[in-house]
Amino acid sequence: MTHNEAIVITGLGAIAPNGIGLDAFWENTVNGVSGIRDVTSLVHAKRENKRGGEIPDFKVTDLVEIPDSEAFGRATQLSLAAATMALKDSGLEPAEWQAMRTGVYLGTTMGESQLAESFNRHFPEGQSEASLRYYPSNMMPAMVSISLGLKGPSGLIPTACAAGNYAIGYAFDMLQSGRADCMLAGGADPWSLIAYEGFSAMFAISPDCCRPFDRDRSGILISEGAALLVLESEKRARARGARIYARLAGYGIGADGYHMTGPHPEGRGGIQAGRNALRSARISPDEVDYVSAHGTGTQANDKTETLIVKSLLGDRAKRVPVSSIKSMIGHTMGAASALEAVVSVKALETGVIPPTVNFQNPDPECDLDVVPNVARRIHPEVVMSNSFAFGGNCATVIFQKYGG
Amino acid sequence: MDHRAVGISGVGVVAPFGIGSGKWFFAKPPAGPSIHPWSYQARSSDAMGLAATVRDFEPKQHLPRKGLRNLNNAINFARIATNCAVEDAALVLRELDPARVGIALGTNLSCADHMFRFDRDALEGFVDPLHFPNTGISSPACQVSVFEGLHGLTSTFSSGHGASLDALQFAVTSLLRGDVDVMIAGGVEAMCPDLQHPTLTKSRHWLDLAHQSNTWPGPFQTDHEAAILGEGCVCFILERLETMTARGVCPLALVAGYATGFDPGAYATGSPDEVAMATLIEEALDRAGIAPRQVDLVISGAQGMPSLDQAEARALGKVLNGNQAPTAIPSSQLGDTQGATGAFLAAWATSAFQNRKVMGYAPRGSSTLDLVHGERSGSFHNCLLTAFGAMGDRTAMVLQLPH
Repeated sequence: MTHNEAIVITGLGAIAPNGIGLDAFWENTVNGVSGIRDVTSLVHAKRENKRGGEIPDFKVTDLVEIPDSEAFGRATQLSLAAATMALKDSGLEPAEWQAMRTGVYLGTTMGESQLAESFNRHFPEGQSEASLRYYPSNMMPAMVSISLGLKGPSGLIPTACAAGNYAIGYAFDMLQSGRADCMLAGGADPWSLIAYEGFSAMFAISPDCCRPFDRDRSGILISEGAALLVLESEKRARARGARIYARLAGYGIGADGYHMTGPHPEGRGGIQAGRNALRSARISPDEVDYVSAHGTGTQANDKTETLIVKSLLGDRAKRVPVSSIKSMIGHTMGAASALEAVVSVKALETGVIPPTVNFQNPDPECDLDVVPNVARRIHPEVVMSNSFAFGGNCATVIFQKYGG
Repeated sequence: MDHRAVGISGVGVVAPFGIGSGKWFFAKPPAGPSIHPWSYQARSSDAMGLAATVRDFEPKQHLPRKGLRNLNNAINFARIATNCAVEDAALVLRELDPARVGIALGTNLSCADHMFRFDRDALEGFVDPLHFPNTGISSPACQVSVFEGLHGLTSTFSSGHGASLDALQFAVTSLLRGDVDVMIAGGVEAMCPDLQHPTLTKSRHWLDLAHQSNTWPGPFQTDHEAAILGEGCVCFILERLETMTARGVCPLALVAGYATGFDPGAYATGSPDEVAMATLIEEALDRAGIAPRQVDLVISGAQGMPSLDQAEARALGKVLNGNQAPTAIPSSQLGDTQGATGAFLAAWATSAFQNRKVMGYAPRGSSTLDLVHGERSGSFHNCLLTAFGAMGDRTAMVLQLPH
């Protein structure tokens, strides 16, 4: 493959609190259906906030036929199930993806944190000791590669809540540099007590729902999920007659270099990531039709993201629709930007952009068109998807409608 | 795109054999193995084994006291190694445009101890929110970025033994793409007693490998399975050659070629695919634009797992085809440094270029490779690095001595 060949998306897999499987997730997301509920593991917790985006119906063996997959950590199970869905959606047969250099890059925030939690609660009783073999962070992509027989690059990108976009970006690099023929890229995170306790201690968890960009927004809701995209060169996809959802035009990475838990007040890392993405995609800010926001629902993030969008899109910023699906599914951590990438691609395919639900009171400091409460048909040609994370990790990806 | 356009201008090392810059490391390469008895204190005070740890590590001897209380060893290792590398590169961070400086590190386990401890604190009913961000695997790179105010980009790779080579390659890509002018890249790993507890490792629960051993590590030995744990950090400064030339700095090494892949059958079958290994090595050499006969030094990440090491030996033999380049194995001195392995391999290669000698303490015994034991002198120009993990992760890189 030659450098700078077009990279396209040919398969999607998604597991979210409001839907298991691409169709259920997308349909519920455009219809504003929430996946937030009381979290089972918090039933007896002392804390008052018990809401979150747990997926109690997820059972890996319902979705994949991999021996022993129930023994893996939940992050690996979610990843494996989403990867299997995405490959099936791409039309590739196992013999095909195993014959070429198919790789996987996964993003995560907490990794297999449930294994650590189980270990701490049950040591030294035998079971959780054995499960710790799946704890090291590189085991997530390794077990996906082993289970599916993938021979291409395999790695975990643990850059917290921006990790899915990082993974998509590195997969893009692997394909453009000819080091892989096909890549699965996205992210996964299980529901995490550690994350719940950490964000609770920072008073960052909403007592009821997530209201991105609303004046009365009160924080995030911890969720779980996974999403993977199948990426390959346009040439290869066309040669095999694959359905092409969209083009991955480029990506950019930035850093706040400011604080471990709070965004830079002027959003310098997000601006850097967005500018790098536009440059990588060779897209003008004027061409961006929709922004899939990071939109966590915290006071700091949404105010800063508004500044970032304004800095990147200039005078058009208030006219370009910007919505956050976290209003429906909460914060799926390392899966967040991967699920948002799936939404971005589906928006290009269907022409519909999802709403920001729970929006009631506009905030003068978030004076963007946040697509309040109802989806909108706008037929976007270019979608920018933002993600910002703890530690100042920032990544933006840009998708473009595929014209054939 | 990855043909010798980016070089290494500085090295910083935190290792069981000492802490310092490239100048220190090149002048005083480790005189012997750094392996010693080590106590797994998290759960049992009397559990002892062999390990290669950074003993008597006192971060306040190397870093300002502010904020140290909330940091862990992995983060402190990364901050110290960064400072050493910056000094070695004759750079002053505050004189650089912070928007043009980035950092990428490889690590697999480095902040796991923080996650386990944070959760135990939660069980006891109180957590310190200042400790929460350090439960993240990317916290070493992010903390360096925050402490130094660098906002070019940050990234972290967890891809097994090649993780820090992935970070180095990402640094090359970012520099060539023009996203940054200076990259700090390398790898870090710190002990996590919970994960490395002997009850787990002796019963082969963790990674199914005998990581806890009371015998000496034996990479490439057919009859000797013994890998031990290590920790440490190596950070490099990478710049485009034109940038180095403009500021009158000679590169210590050039990043010439890189290849990565996975062997999905290795873990399940216990029979690594040596043909795939050979293909990967050939790809790295091809991307570096050098022939197998031009390889004059191999630095291997072999850990002492016979089936994996023997497959690597056969792959090297197949590719090098009679070229008996000396092979050094840092793990025989440093133990298994996990995600930092690749960075230590690159440090060994850079030292060999600068010193015209390479150190190694490979166990004596039969091997098809020319294993370095003690000091080996030579004029090294093309060094092949191999980082092949038991799970199936496969990464190779070629570093070159600049002309």
